[in-house]
Amino acid sequence: MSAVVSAHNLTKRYGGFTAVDHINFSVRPGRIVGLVGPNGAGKSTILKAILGLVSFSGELQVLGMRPDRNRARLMQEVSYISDVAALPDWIRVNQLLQLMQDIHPRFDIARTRNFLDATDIGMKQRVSTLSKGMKTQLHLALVMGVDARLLVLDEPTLGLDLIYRKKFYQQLLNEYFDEEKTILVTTHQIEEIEHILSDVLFINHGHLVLDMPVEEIASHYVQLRVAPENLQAARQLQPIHESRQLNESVMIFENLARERLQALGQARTPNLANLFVAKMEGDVHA
Amino acid sequence: MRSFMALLRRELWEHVSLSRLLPFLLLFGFLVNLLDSINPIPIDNVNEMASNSAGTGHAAGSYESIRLDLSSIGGELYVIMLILVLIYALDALFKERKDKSILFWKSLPVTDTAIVLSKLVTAVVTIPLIVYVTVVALQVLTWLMLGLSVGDTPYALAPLWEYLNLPHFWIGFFFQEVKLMLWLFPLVGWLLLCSAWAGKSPATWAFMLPLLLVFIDSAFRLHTGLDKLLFDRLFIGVFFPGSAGTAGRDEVEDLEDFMRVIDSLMTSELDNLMHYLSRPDVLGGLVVGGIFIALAILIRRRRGDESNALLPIGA
Repeated sequence: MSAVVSAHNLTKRYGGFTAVDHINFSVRPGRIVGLVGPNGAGKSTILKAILGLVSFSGELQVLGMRPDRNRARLMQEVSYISDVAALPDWIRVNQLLQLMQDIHPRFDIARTRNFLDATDIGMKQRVSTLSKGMKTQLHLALVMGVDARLLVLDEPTLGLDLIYRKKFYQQLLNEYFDEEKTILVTTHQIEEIEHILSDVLFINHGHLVLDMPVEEIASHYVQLRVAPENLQAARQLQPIHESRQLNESVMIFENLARERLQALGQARTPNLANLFVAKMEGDVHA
Repeated sequence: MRSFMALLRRELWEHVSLSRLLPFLLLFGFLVNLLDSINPIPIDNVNEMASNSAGTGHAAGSYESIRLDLSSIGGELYVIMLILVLIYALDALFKERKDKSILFWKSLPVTDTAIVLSKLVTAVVTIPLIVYVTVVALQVLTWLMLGLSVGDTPYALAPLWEYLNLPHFWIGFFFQEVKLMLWLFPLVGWLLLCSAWAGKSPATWAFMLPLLLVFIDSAFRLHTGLDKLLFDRLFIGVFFPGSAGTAGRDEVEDLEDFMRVIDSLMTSELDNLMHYLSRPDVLGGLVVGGIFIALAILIRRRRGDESNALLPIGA
């Protein structure tokens, strides 16, 4: 099956500043891909390139189209939630639905209404009267109504409380996602989404530092809580990252056999948050 | 086409004051007419008007008074329309960036061209149309209330209608509006361009830049004629679109002249409009306006990426 997104030498420069530097990646259909990086890493620029909002050099194909030349056509098959501030404040909910129905050829107003019926959002309410959480729900409801092949989420839960954040991702998984849809999500709060991701792209200073399916992480990375007497031996194996936790050293190793490490301490697969820190702090581009 | 109509409807939803203009002004007109009806026109005057063109004596005075009342409805709303169009165009492409909703609109399958054109059409078609309907409705209301307030008889409506010749006025006003929008097209284009371009204050770009250019022209005695061009475009052509810039402006010395000019404008017909369209200053304005609009589309196409260093962020 062909890639939903494929980038080859994707580069974006703003004057003398290179925001994205010759990166290559592809996103397969039916996956939930996390594009993760610290602030200013270039993740939003990549998303904007995918959405046709910026020009770029290199090759970028989204659903077989070059996004900067086919944005309007592409948006028939791509949905996008940036953050809660993006919905216009002046519009009423029913007007928004009507507008979507008239503009979007793949929008099913009944689906969105069904979703909204389960919320506290009134059809005649103006967006300005909704709380941040309700705005996110409304935006999600609109996305639910669109039969899109790719959903792009750019920090969609920024500024929301924990309950709404959890609810957002639960609804996304239970009521939206299926094997025919692909989700690309950026966040710098990786712990919040790591349980739903099928692939991760770590980006730092415009470079990809990790591009891997989540199920393969266990075979490439090991986190080791090192016994004090084995500290020197462990360090000789060149961990990519070392930190101190409760007077113990915790190291992360890349491409080393788990059996070999188990002799030196307690080995396990690092969670994405720890792996992210390890890759960022060990990034040669930093 | 369906999506373009939806975009036009969106503009009315967003600028809700536009759709409320008609009922608001109708209510206002009703109240003003109600006050006027305290001193009704004598029925004799109306009958005199009916039998003798403008009537004589008191009848002539009443006739002119009514005509002026009805003309002033058109004139006042004409000015309101100008203000509405200018404010709207200046804000149209700026507001969506200010409230960040541009990212939402860009997530819809609509081209930047369609978005900008929907705002252009709102400025040069929808707003004038709303004002036109409002003028017609207000004049009908005034005619009805004036007619019904004459003495204690309702039979003054027909002679009043015959005298006021409102359809004649409406045709003239319609063509005047069309000419005005053709004349203002480059200005609307310029305001939309500033609205798409400016980072903080479109008004600063829209008004200060031309003023600066005029100042430079004057200070260095470049004699480019920019000041006259702007003056003609913004004042003479706006209020005398049938004779923009040259003939007619010096002839308006008293009320009688003004009424004559208004009369001549009101009697504009389609061939008159075609003649107007063939004028070099009108055609040139359309070309310049078209260039401004094209630039506004190009700039909006690059919006949504506000970190782009090539575009002004804090301008």
